[in-house]
Amino acid sequence: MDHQLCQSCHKNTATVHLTEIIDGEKHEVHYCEACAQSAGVHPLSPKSFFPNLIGPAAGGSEEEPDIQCPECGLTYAEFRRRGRLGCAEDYRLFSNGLVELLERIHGSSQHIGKIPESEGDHLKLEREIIELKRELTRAIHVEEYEQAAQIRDRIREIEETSDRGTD
Amino acid sequence: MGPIEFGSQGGQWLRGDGADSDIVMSCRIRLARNLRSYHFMPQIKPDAAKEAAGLVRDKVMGSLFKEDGQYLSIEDLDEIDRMYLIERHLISRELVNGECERGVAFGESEITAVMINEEDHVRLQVIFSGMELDRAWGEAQRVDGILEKQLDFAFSSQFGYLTACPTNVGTGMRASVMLHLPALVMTKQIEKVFQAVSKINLAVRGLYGEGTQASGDFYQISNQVTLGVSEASILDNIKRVVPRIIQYERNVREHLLAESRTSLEDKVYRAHGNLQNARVITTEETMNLLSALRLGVNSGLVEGLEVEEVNKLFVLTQPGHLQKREQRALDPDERDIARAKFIRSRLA
Repeated sequence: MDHQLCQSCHKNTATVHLTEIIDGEKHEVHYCEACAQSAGVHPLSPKSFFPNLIGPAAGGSEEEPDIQCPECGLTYAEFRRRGRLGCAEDYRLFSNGLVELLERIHGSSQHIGKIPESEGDHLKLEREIIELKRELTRAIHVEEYEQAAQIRDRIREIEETSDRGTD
Repeated sequence: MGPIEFGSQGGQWLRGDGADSDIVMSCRIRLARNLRSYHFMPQIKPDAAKEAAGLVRDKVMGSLFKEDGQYLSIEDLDEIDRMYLIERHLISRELVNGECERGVAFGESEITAVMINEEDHVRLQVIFSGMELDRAWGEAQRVDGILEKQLDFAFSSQFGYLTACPTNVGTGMRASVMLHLPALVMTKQIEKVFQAVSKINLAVRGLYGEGTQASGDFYQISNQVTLGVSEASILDNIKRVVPRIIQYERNVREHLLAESRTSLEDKVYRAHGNLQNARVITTEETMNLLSALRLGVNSGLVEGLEVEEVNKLFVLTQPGHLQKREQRALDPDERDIARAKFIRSRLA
């Protein structure tokens, strides 16, 4: 069986095979373990596929003072370098930078999926209002004013109910 | 040899049943969860990791796998057992390469497995044979519901389920479908699938997941976006594209049978013959020949052989499984001989 050679050193057998899809084009990269490491490719890590997403944002606005989490000790700079968060608190503490990052990765920074049962009903209502407001913006944008009015009424209705609920 | 018994012939997902199982080998739902009161894996101290692993293990074993499950700590396993679990899709390489206390709990059918202290404290997966995404999601949701009653998961109303890596946050869900696409590979049309799939934010990977090369003509399609979408719409996105790929593969198979039957038969029967007679065979050659054989079985060219048997051979011929069967470490040359012998015994 032929062994594929590392395309960097052309000596060792390539054992790290990456398939990247960039703008719909498939690119294959074949490295040996050593060259993969020196190229910063960590086998089997999804993060190595898009370091540019997690790495520091372009534009040089990184001059802000660094924040450190009192809970787990992770700093914001460290997070941007490694791409991993250290505890639940980090999400709150680093939320400014995270929102921008999440928008780039997911095209959104607002969860609309499943809610744990323990989070209760108020979160579900809050969720519904967020979705309705989004729909309202869309309805106004496409000039469906009748529908927009209906959505607005529904939002008011929910807000009033939930206010009564917390009295 | 480590503590694992040489188990059944592989998990439920190799059974070759479920919808469209001629093309869809398996489908999988993975949910990532973290405990609110422990640091996430990159920042956690070894003692706390051990405590968290113990807590999750006790709750998982006590609620999910009371009757027939087992928990394996990675530290207790030798190299071969670790490989064996990876090959069965029960654990990831990342779990093996971790440093703190970590392990996996799974039931006898191997449908549901929980990796503990991988990248996140809890990685729940459900795998079924065939195109059974809704069934897998139903089961994952049921199990998640049981776990969430016993474990306090980190969740925020803005970001959803909080994960160590921001690429998983929100639903924490990765839904994937493993497709066997030999005809599209043969006719060099697979690139079109890549292009179509990447346009709608889905990723394509090989048989053994992230960073692995597609082998045996298996391609795994999964969602990339986990935040700002509901679980249902993640599933819908995949369920919209997969039937089109299935149809595409089927059309090309029909075309090959109609227009190039002889060369297709030649490929399939040679593969069958080589597998039945080889004395030395590598994993890669095995995967390629099994792929042609699987196509032959599903196209009605090979009779008297069940697709389930071919599916199992893809896993049972992997290095970890071979060494587990032989109950000793084998060097690559010995493995190639043992592999050929094992395949001959199964396809005689």
